[in-house]
Order: sequence, then C-alpha cells, then structure tokens
Amino acid sequence: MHIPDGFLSPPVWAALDVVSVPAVGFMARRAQRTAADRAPLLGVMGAFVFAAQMINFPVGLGTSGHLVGGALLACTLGPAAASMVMTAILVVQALVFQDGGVLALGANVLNMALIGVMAGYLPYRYWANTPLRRAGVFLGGFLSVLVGASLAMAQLAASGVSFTGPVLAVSAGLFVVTAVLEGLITLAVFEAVERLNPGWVNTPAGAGSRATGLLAAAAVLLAAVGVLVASGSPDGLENLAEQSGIASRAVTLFTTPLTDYEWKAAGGEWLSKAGAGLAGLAVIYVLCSMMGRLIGRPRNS
Amino acid sequence: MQYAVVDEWSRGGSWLHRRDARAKLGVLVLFLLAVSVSPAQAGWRVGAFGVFPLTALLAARLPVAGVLWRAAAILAFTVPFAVGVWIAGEPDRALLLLLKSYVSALACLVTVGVTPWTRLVQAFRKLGMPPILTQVMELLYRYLFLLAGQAAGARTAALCRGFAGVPRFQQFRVAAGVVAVLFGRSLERAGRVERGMAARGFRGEFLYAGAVLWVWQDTVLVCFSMTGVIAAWWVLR
Repeated sequence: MHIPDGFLSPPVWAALDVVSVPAVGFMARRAQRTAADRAPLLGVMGAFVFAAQMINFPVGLGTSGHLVGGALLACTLGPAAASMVMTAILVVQALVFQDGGVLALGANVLNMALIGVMAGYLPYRYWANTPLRRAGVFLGGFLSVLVGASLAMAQLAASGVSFTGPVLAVSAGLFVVTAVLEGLITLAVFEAVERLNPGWVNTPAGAGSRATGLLAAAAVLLAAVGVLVASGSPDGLENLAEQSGIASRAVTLFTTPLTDYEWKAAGGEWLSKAGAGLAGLAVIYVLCSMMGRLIGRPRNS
Repeated sequence: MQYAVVDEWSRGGSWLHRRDARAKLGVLVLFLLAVSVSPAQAGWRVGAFGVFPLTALLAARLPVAGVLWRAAAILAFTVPFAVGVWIAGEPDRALLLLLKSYVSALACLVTVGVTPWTRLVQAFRKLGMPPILTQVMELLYRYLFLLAGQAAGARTAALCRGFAGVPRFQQFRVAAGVVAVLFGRSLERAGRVERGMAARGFRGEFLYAGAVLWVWQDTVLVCFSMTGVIAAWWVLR
C-alpha cells in the first residue's frame, strides 16, 4: 500500500502533495486543539504501532498477518490525533525504512493517514453508542485498509501503470482479504484494550444514531454497487433534448475528471462509475458538513 | 536491532555528515524530482542517476554493500508491480519503474545515513512543518527501538509459554492480548514521559543544543549537486 517514488506520474504526485499539505495542516491544528501538550502520548503511540506490527496473528494456511493500526488509533486517540500519528509513521517509514516514497508521501498520507483514518473512524463514530459498536470497529478496520489500497491502485492507474484483468482481480482479492484481516485484528485488540481499561478507549460524545450509520453505509453501497443495476437510458430531459435536436448543439465549456459520472482514469466501466459515485458522495458530504457548521455557528451580536 | 544501523551511519563525521540538513533535504528533493520527470524514452539509462547517491555514499564513507542491500528493501513492493506491468506487455516500463524506485530509495537512504534524525526533524521544523508533527516524529523515533524491543520480548515470552501449541483461535486471542498489554504499557510510558517533560519545563517545543547554522559549504553542496543533477537530466532527456 505504500507507493514508492517512480511509480506515480509527476502530475499525479504533485496534485496529491498539493492536496495533502493543507489537509495535514488542518488536521495538525485540530490535533493541537484536542491533544494540546500531548505530543509525548502521540509519539509513543506511533512507536506502539510500529512495535505492534511485529506481533503476528495466525490466519491459517501457514500464513500470518499484522495490525496496520489506523482504525485502532482513531478509535482510541480520536481521528485528528490518529492522523498525526499515522502521518509521522509514514514520514519515518519513507525516510528510514524505504517503505514508500518521498515525492509520493502526499499520496500515501492522503490514502492512509487522512482518508484511511477517517474511513476507519466513521463507522465507529456512528455506532459507538449502539449495539452495532463491535461491527463499527470491525468495519472501521476493514474500510481503513480497503479504501487506502483502492485509492493507491486508482492513483497508479491514473499515472498510466497498466494492469491486466487477472492482475487487477488478484490485487482486489488480496486487498479484501487483508482488509477483513485488519478488521478482525482491530476488533480483537480493541476488545482486549477495553477489557484491560475501558478508559483507554475514546467514546465519541453525542455519537450518531444507528439509523444515521446505516444511512451512511447504504449511501456508500448504493454509490459503489448501484451502478451495476442502474438503467443506461437517458433521463426525460436528455430524451427530450435528443428528440428535439437541441442535444447536438450543446457546447462543452470545460471537462472535469468526473465528466458523465465516470472516472476515466479508474479503468473498467464499473470501477470508473463507482469511483465517480464515491468521489461525488465524499465531496457532497464535505460541502454539506461545512455548510452545516457555517449555519450552525453561534453569531456574536 | 537492524533499524539502529541507519542511526549508527548517521553519526559519522564526514564532510557530508556536517552539512545542514536543509541543504541535504533540498538536494534530495531536487534529485527525486529529476528522476521522476526523466522521460520514459530514457529507459535503462535512468540508472545513470545512481552515480549521485553512489558518489555520496563513498564520500560519506558509509558501507557500500550494506547501503545497497538495505535500499533493495523497496524491491519487495516494486517487483510484483513491475511483473504485473511486464505481463501487461510493457517490459520497458517495468524496468523503468524498478530503476526509478531503487535509485530514489538509495538516494533517500544515503541522505538519512548522513543526517542524524534530530537534525532532520529540526530541518523539517525550520521548513514549516507543524510543530506537533515534528514532535510526534521525534518522540516516535526515540521510543520506536524501546517498544519494538518490548514487543520482541513479549513474542519470545509467548513462544516460551507454549503459544505455538494452542489452537489457532486461541492464538489469535493471545496475540490480541499481547498487543493490548503493549498498548497499555505504551500509554503508561507516555504518561511518565509527559510528566517528566512537564517537570523539566517543556513548553511545547523542543530546544536543541548546538544548532547547525547554514555555512558557505552548504551553499557549495546545493549548487554543485543542482548543476550535476540538472546536467544529468538534460543529457538523458
């Protein structure tokens, strides 16, 4: 999952670096606010993740796996602090252990420390105070790895690295197996930590209801899988425009990477449509959250 | 521990070791940029960029075989991908990916091998990285070896107590318990570190003894390296 230097094309790594720098700055400010004077805690927990990766979990067929840690950190330290710890880990891995590149650091930070951690935290955030708590922790671990790995593959595809169908299928299969394993390990460790001391676990105050969580999961599922059963026929307005001949006079002023609800760089038809759907969902979620905060902010009279 | 090897290399006293970390980071980024934007037509000739880290390696008197071998760790990730690209019918691109990633990893390793970690973090801080991130990086590196040692000890203890003989499901639970205990110990250690630092008057920023100042030799290093790297890129273009 750690993309090394030389794999991403300059426009891709440069764009991801440009996106990651302010995003890390934003998370650093949040972490500073919520975890002020707690740098020792975050540093030692980063070292813990490294150390925990040395402990192997048997998974059968003579193989073993280890904890990745993004979701576990998010559930115990909170998302902003977890993002900082994961970013620090990625910098150390890139510089000292040759695991991931320096120019590709923006991509790796975005995949694993920012989006990966948030994907790992959201199910727990919504289900922490419901009977689905355990499912939330498992899903968090699962999503943190799957989302990070899928983004890495998409970025490689956008850089022109070509994959044949079988290679892509094997990679996707490996990602799902690794993600399930991360979910199971995260859940097992989380429960063991909670048994040792319930105070070590971060339970979000005013966590969302089970309905909100299910709604979020349904939206993600619909965006990713709904395209498989969606009709390919034009909608009413497009049909009318085609029949009246207006459609042929349409002028495209500019194009975006998600034109026609397809993310061309992603490759296959399903992947490109699902990618566009998920990207759109993320953009709308961020915009609505920002607007909600703006509207809900108390005004000084 | 194997990780400590790079730390030992970085404590050398060569001309390169004494240079400002900002200069070395600047040269590294420029080098990686040149390798990244070198055209696909350059093919195997991209390997010629390897002359730069090799020269630095010899100038810094680092163990050549050790550094070359350690940089090969990157191949664990890149070889499977290169094979996939090869199978997809692009052997030239596969070779290019391998060369670019190896040369980049080598340059990175040489830079870290001639710069102590505290100096690197100091340079990141001076270059505008958020203080909380640099502090986390510094403490992470400091406690990494200690906690990794504890994890190795816990693993040995579990094996001595017959961990390998118990059913697989039980092994999974035992491993989770070991990680949870490590988590608890890390939290306790973090608490002690926090209290110790507060008692010594920690105000949210580390103070370094003997800060390195930018001197004319650093400018020479940057100018010399820039000229060489740009010239190499121009020839390969």
